[in-house]
Amino acid sequence: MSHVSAPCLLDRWTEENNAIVDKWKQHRDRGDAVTREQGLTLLKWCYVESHKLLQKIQGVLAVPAHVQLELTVVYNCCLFSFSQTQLTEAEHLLTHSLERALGAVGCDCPPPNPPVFWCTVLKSLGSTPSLRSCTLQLLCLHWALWLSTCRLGHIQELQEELRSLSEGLGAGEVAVEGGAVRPAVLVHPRDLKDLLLICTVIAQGAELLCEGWCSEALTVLQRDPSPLAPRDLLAQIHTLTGLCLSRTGRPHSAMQCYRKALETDVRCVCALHQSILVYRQLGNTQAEIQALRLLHSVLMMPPDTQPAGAPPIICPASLLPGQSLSSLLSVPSPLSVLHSLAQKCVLHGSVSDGVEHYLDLLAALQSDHQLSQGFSEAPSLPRLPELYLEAGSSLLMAQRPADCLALCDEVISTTLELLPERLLLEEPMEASVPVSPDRLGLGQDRLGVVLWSGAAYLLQAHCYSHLKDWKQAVTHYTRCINLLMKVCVKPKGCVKLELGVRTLQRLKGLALAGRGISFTHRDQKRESLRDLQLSLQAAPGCASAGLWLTEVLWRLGRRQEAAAFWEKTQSSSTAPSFEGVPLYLLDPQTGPSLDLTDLRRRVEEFINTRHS
Amino acid sequence: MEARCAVVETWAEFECPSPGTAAKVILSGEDVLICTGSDEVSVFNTQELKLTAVLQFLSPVCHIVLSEDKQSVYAVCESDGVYCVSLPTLHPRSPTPPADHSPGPALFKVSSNSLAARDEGVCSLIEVGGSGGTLVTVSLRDATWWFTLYKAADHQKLTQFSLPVVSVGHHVESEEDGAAGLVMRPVLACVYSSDAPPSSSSSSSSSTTTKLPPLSSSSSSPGIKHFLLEPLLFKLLFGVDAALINSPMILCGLPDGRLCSLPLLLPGRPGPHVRVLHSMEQPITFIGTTTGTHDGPKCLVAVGQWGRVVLVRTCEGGPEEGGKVAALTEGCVSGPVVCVCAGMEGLYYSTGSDLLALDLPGVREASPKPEESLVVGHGERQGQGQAMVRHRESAALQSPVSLNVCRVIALAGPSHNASGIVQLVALSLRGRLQRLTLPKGTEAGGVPRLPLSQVGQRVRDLLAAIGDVCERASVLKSTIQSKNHSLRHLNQVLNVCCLLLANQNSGEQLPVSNKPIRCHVVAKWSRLLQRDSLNLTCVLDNSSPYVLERNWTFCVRVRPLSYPHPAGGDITSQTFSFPFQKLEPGGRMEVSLPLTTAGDTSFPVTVSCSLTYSLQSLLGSEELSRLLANGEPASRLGLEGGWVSLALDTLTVDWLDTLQVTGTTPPHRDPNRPSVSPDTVSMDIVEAFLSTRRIRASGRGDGGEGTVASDGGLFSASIKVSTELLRGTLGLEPPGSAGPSQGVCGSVLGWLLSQGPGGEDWRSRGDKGGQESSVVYARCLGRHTVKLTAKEVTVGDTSVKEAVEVQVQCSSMAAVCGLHHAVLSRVQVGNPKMCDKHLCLSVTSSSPP
Repeated sequence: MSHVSAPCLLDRWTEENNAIVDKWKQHRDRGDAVTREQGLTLLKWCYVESHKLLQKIQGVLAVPAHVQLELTVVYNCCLFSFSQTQLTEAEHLLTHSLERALGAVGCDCPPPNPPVFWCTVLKSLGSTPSLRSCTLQLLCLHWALWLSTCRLGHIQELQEELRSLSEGLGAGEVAVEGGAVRPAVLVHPRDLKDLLLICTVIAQGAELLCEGWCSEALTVLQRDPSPLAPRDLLAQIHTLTGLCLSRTGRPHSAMQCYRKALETDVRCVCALHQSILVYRQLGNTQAEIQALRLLHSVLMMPPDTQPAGAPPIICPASLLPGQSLSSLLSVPSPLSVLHSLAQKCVLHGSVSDGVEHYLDLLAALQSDHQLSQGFSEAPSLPRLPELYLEAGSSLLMAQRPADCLALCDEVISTTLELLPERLLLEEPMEASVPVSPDRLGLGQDRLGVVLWSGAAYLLQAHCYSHLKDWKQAVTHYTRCINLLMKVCVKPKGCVKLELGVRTLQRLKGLALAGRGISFTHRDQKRESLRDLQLSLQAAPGCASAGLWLTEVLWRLGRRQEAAAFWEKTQSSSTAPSFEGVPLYLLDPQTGPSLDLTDLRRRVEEFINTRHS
Repeated sequence: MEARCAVVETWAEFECPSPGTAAKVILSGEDVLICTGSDEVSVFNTQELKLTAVLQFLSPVCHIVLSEDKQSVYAVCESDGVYCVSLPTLHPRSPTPPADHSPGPALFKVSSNSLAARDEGVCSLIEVGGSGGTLVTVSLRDATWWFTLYKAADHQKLTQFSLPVVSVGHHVESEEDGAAGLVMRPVLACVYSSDAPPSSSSSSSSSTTTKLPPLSSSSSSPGIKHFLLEPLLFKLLFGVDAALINSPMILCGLPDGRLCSLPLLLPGRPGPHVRVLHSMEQPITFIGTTTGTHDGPKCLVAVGQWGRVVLVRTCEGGPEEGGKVAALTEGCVSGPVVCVCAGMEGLYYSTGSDLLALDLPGVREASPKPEESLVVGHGERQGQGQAMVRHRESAALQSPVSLNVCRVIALAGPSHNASGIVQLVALSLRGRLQRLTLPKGTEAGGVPRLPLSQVGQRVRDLLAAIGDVCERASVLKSTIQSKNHSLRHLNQVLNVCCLLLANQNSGEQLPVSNKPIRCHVVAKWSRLLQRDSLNLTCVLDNSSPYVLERNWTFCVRVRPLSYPHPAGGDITSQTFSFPFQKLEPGGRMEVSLPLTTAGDTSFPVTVSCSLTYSLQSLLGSEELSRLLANGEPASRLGLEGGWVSLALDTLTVDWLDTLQVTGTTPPHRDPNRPSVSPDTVSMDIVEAFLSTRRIRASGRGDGGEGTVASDGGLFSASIKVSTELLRGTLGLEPPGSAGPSQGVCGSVLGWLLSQGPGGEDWRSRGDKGGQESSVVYARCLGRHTVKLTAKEVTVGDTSVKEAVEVQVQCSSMAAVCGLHHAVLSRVQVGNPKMCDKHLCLSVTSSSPP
């Protein structure tokens, strides 16, 4: 900064201001040549220098001739403050300087209430053509401050003034053009205004959406956005529009919006996530699996490399700090996406893919790299033992019983020492622990340990029966049953059973049924009959148990009973839905096969002959 | 409390750790890293015992942490954030810095390029898993503790967890003296399950089913706070999920007393990531476990600043459920606990005033019985499922063993030398880097466990040690006593000095009678072995309040007032010294010293009395030379060569003092004969004769002094003094005022002779006679008979009408001269106001024909 040639203070200050701005702009234009760290240092330096300059300017009494320069310097200064996230400082500076300017032109200080304040300011300063432009610049700045502190109310109140900004800013420039040396501005106010406009739309739309005003939000969001707006912001607008549409029951239109968002910005993962939810809602499983796969691969992509140079003075993220927006646009963690993907794959056909996904998931959990994949505030992964069990059962489904056995061993050895001798549960379980549908209650790890361990034994027994090692299968089913018998539930007459207890009963049913089936193969029909009957008592709805009971009765020669039971099961053919039941609690798919047609033929023949 | 002494060996001194920062030492192989709160971190090599490198940071360093692979050091700077400096580049063997070949430590300036994380609020940090691992920082911002995870390799921020602050302000000032002003910062530790492989990026599912070998010892070696925990306890504390994927757990002890855990690898866990395990209700100074046992320590320890010790162990669950639960035992040691380091089977901790070893019972002994414990039913702990059990009794701790090392504010180690003795590295409050070698037997953290056969030996050792200590104590005691003694003496000496110096310096001489320590001198004739000798008797009166004890010496120096200049020109003076034994206040000491045996001394003589004190005999020569080397104070006291010398009085002994009054009548003997007493033996006569002959033979030739008048011939001299003046001086009443006028002449003679030997006798005789006599015969030095006559005369002078004429007559010229001088000086001294008018000198000397 040369102070040599400046003949008067005004020129010297203008020169100083321009030097700071130039330095920053040069640096910004240099791009890759500098590191981010250097950029931050320079930014800090500029921040300090501009504040020093402003102190000098404000050190003397405000005179009308200086107002334009001062307000421009304040604009730059506040922008630097903004970049350092010194928002309150910037706001204080802003109002203070405006009050000074008002004093200089001989107006009274308006009240601090922002709409009134700005009306007064615009009336007294905006009428002067030379000052109009720089006053409007500051209005822009104040707008940014309101936006970044979530004070949307002020923006709403000053809507008219803000809308008229564009003309004012354009006009001011022409008026100033005649001057000799113009004080430079850091960011052109028109650029700033465009950015603010779209950010305001997003913030307002998100706010309305969160409050449930979907149609109002839609109106706000469908205002014609500037085509020059940043792509990611446009994509956000599309996503929010889609959200409005899907909430108002128009999933197909919502899908259109999400697609538009993805076309605008490939990295708009929230649109992808929302479209997955829509597919799930529509029941389009294959599309959902596709989208999940896509989402996972996008999430696993290395993050955007930081721009090498300094960060921009004002980034949209700092203008959109709203909680509602971030909750709307939140995306589950890659691991939980992977889990959903694996689960869907296993449940809907492509078991081998699902197994691979499960194994990837387990590997990722044990590696350090998961950290870099970012944490989501709302974890949606099940507890790890459950994850192991799910992976195990998927391995069994994929005909890999040995791997399943090993995985279950892991769970058993981990939980073995923690098993209680006895466990007495009183229903309803104490404390209002929030129970999520797919996971055990928070306060019930002791029950959890029993259930996990039991499920692991159950899976192992399934494996052995898959391998036709009936003796081992019986042993493991028995272990499972013994373990589950340690839990004593004291019913209190509650209609709806808690998830833990339901899981317990389902496990009991499956284990007893499995043992019964194994006994059948060992030709121990009596034991088999007992177990299958107990199984149906414990957990009605276990389909294979009913069939096998019929078979055993048949084999025992109790054809009458077999036929009666058969009719009973056929009449209540509406099997209870197992939606939300963990994989490992589903009926074993790969168990010993029962020739169902043969049984049906035999039983129906018997019924027919009896009737006839 | 049993106490044993650790051997302290000071290696180096650093600047005093600034109060308010927690100083830290870290032991890394041969190197010790020292952080004292300044902007420098020093690296000290324990093999070469020298400072090898100094890391200079841009701002004060408040915390340092070594990475798990010991390859780099993380430093938290107050104003910047976290720096990461790679250690191998500092090693002297590496060729990088050019300053290497110089013997001094290499200075490394750490620039902002080494900044790993820019976060000004970082209080504490830990690195897990080496360069491929994770860096966890804890910072305080907006009344929230933030746990931030960074990639260790490129310091990329991964994620952040928060925990609200409970009590505002994390700078919990200690209220007790020991650790005053110490900043409490969160304590971080990393726990692995002891059956877990080190956290590594395992990519295939097979790793979930195969157990890798347990952690290599390097990751659990002392100095780095990563430790292993028994798998069961790990599961009970941190849950099945963490155990399944072998997640390292970060334990954090917050200054508000909460003990929190944070899993490093656990994304899907419901509930908050940072979980509070327990609240100590006092700032936590240490979290860890012992390093000794092989199958994973069975006990987790946390120590609070005020001495609360919490042990977490597994124990049997209650009778209704069975199984295992985590039990919590609380104990207390006397705080404050400034720093702690874990030993094989116990802890070493410093209270600032002492270093103590605490044995942890949980390591060896059976786990506590369930009925001694009670289940802690905090709601927050329910999320864990496995209830924690808290012990009812807190007498679970053994009493710590004092190691008698004070002022330790930072500890590192322990290491074991070749013979298995435990050594710690410590930093003292004064910035001293010390190696503490612990006595054998404190290894176990306290009570030595010896086989029975060694007990006897041990007892003997201990007894010997007690004897040594006793001996040392008695030596010290006597030293202290002698020092006290010396101090008391010196105090006395100083008091006496002050007393006498004050007298000297006050300018005006006090009257003799007012001096606190005074002496006077009397010349006395004595007869020993039939020889008359003139003895000078000095009497020292101690009326000061101080005792003059040993080491004080009374010195008397005798020097002729006028003396013949001998050829050599040296002064013929004699000094007599008399050491004191003990002269109590109010006591007096009388010494006598031979003045002359014959007339070989020229009178008058000056007698200077002084007191001297020898510092050497009090302090010993070494102390004294040290004292003298200090210069200034010694010289101000007049300590020349360790002697204090204080002048008392200077007196004059003149001819009059030596007179032996024989009476008012001439002696019966032949006046021609030399004045030998009637009892003298022939020897004297012969001698006197010879001397007479000699003098006579030479007398004629010179006619100078020393001439003895020949038979019948007398030299005489007279002085006339105004009667009025004499009356005034002697305190006589003026004539005519009352009764018969007192004889002035007699009084004058009495006054003149009062100080001489025999003067009193004469006076008493004169009084008895009731008649004043104006003639006195006496014997003087050289045994001449002297006649002193006083008579009233009138003189022609206008102003002085009446006068007393004192006439001295003797056959010896020297005697006459001497006596005349003496009389004159007496008169002058007695009447300082007297002017010449009153003193009509009429020195008439009539020589014998």
